Amino acid sequence: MKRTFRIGSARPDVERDVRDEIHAHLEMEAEALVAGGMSETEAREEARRRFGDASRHEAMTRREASRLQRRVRWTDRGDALLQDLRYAFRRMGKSPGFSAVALLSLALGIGANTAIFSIVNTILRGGVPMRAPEELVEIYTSEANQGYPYSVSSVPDLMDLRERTDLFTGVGGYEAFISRYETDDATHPVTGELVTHDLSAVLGIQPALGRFFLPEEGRTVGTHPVVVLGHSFWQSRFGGDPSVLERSVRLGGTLFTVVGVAPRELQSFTAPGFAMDAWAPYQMAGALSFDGDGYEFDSRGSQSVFIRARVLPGVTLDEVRGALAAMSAQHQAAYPEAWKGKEFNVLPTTEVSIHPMVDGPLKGVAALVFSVAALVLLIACVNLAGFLLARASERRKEIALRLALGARRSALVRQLLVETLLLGFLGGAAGLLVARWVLGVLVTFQPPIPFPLNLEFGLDGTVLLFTGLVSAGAGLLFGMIPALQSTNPDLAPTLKDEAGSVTGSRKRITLKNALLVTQVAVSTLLLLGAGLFLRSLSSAQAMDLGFSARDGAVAWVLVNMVESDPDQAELIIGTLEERALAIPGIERVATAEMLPLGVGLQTTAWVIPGVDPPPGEEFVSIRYNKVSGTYFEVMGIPMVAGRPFSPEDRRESEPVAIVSQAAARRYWPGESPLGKEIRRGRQEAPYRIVGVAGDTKVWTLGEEFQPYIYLARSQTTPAGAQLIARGALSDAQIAGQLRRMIREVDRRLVIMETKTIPEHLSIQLFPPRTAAALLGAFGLLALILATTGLYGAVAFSVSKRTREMGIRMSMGASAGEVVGMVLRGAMGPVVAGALLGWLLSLGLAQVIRGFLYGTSPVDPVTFLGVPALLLGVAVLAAIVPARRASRVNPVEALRSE
Amino acid sequence: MAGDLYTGTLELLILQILKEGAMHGYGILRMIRERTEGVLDVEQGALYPALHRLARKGWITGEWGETETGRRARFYALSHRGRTALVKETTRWNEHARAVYSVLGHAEG
Repeated sequence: MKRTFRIGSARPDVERDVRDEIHAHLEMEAEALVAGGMSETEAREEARRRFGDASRHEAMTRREASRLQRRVRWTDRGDALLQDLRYAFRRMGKSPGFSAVALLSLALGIGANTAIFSIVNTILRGGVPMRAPEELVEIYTSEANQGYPYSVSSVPDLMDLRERTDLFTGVGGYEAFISRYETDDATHPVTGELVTHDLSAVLGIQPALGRFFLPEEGRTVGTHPVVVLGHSFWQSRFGGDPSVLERSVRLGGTLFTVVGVAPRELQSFTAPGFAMDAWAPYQMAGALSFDGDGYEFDSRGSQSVFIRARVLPGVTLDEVRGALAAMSAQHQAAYPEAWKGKEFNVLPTTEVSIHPMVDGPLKGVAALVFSVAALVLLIACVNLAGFLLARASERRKEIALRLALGARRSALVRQLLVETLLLGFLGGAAGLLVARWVLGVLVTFQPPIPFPLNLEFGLDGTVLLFTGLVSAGAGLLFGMIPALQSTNPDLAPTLKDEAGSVTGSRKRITLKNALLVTQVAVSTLLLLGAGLFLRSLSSAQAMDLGFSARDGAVAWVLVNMVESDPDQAELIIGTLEERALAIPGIERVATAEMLPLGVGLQTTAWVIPGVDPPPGEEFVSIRYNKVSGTYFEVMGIPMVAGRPFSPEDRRESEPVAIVSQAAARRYWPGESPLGKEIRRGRQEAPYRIVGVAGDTKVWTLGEEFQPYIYLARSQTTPAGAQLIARGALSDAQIAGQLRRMIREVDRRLVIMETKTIPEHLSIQLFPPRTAAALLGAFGLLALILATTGLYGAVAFSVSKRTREMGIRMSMGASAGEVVGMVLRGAMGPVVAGALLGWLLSLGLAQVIRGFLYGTSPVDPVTFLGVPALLLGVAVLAAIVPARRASRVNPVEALRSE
Repeated sequence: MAGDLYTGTLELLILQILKEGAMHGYGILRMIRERTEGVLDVEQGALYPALHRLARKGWITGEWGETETGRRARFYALSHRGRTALVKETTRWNEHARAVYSVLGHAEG
């Protein structure tokens, strides 16, 4: 559209301006008269007559106009905008119902998106505040032949890299440790990280208090017990007292001097989302590590270190990669055994969020959750667009008249958009409150794992910017269509007073239906997803796990931190077993190194006579556990053949093993494994198989039964034990009693966690439960929004068709026929939407197949039940206004227009 | 012409109509006719001096533009000052009307 602006005309133009203006007026009037049936000449004459004394008016106008002062265009623009804004505010106040619904649905939609954005933003940004991260690289040791392209490295390799001052200004290393922290009355598990003394300097991290480590603290092994405390550990244990710098803490049995406190933003290098309690120099690994003095500083085969380096200015990533490839080749030649098939693998730190292997799936999940939230916001917008469309058509006559008179469409569109943008931003502001509340709830949320998540989701600048953009986008999205529609210059049907006509505008009905179809499709999609996960949950609960224990409690105790001598460790565990059995209300006690379906999995290498290991490998790798003799009975695992472990199976007696049915079938097909001998790795003494136990699920609910081997705890060196107890007491009481009893036996013992068996079993159900809750909540929200939308649409169309209903009923249509007719009209788009969502779900269900236990991705109950529910709700939403239509009094209806 | 318009009244009507959005002179006229159901029909030419007087006062702003039918026309929009003035003038007009009513012996309202 071409447009000329001449604001505040200069003097010579005034005369022409006024003449043009009056000329335009006369032309328009004449045009209108011609349209009314007058001839062209007559019309011109009549227009002149109506205008009055043209020359006098023109002169007067010129006089006024020439006094007009030049004004600044921007003030005008600002005025116009302000005017639109006030108008918008007023209109909002005039329809409080609509405004409330709009604000509420926008607040929920935008709030959900903001909360999710904040979480994803926090997690993907990682937990470490680093200076100039673009100069940093991650160096992994690739074991491509083992399928680990981004593995950790060995300490000697780290030391070699630290020599490369031709490539790096600094090379830091770090790894996590778990240790115990002793206070006067108890021992607590702590998590921390071993770091090279210069890691903080390489990354550019400043302590909140005190200092990080000195070069001499990174020089000799075991000589400098110094520690930097985590910020939250300092807050919770020392109340944020700065005098902590003069204190010592007992970690792993050694007294460490506190030299500093980490900044609050530094949570963890290795595990974002978890707040580390302490950092110590690598050289103190012996005092802190699980295995006593067993930390291997010199072995290239023992890989545990994450490496992050700052590249020398001027050195490119390709040069670093080239140099490290050459170094890898040298290592392969120099250390043929330890470096077989390995090489350094370099990635820019900015491309890694948590770990290259985790980032992909994490981003996938983030994208999935984001799309769900975005869909709900889309529904909210579509809903509001529908409402606005309905409302706009009430103003249509007025708008049409203004357009016919030549009011610019852009100005009208702007006015309507200012209104929806205002709603968008107010909704966004309310959405921030919703997001803050959601995040507040989420930070208290804990997955069933031993270490507490420490999440901090803030509404920082990035998040606020995101919310602003989403709000504006939403405002434009739901405002644009109605604005363009209602100002459509194709006016012919409108001016003929469409409200009273029988047919109405075909095009607008189609658009409104399209909106409804979208809404219903999205709700169907979300509800079907939620339904699948719910079905999966219930079938998972009914699933045969291979063990029957569903009650009781378990305490996970670490013994090796206190006692590295296996006999002493065994003695302690034995004592714990006895003392647990002595507690009134506890009848059965067992121990295992690991519980099935927990967060860990152990496999070990076996030699089975007559069974070939997989090609290229020396041993057969089989999952195993170290259990007490009572384990099978307490867990409810049937002994299929042979015997369970007995008190006679001691360290000095013949090593024995029990295999699972799946192992028996796989390795000794057609014969009994009882009495057979198997050897563990390169160990000399064979284990004699004394029993065959029933199969259990070990790692996931979805897995097939796998071969499994049980060893007698009393014949091994357990690092710790899961003390399992069942009895007449409630599960929670048992958990409490176990904890108290362990403290009494030896307060140095580290209790990693105590939990009830149901809590333990919930670990596996955590993903489907979370997904079901999330999709269910969003789906329900979507359904409510869509239902309101449907109700509104039907109610509106009924109110517009009163006359039609009147005609039909006066022609003899029954109330039932009228209801049926309205319902048929309303349900068309609903059925189409449900079908569309249904088909989309069929495709998307394949994506979540891996998360569904014992439920088909095309589960008939879900795929029939959800649409039935949805259609039922839709019929209810439509039937209320439809019945109103059937009560129309024909005479009244016909008279009303 | 069904009735005469006092100068102040015409200005008030213009402001009231522009409150709802920008419009050119002919459109304003049509809307006055529409709203008053033809009772108050302005002598059309009188509109333009009034418009330019309002523009000079800074209550409305004029801007050349093109109508949807492609005709060049001067569009007027209410300014911030114009909005304030409208409120004030409306109050004054109501008071005036009330006064006239009571003199004529009609009950108020």
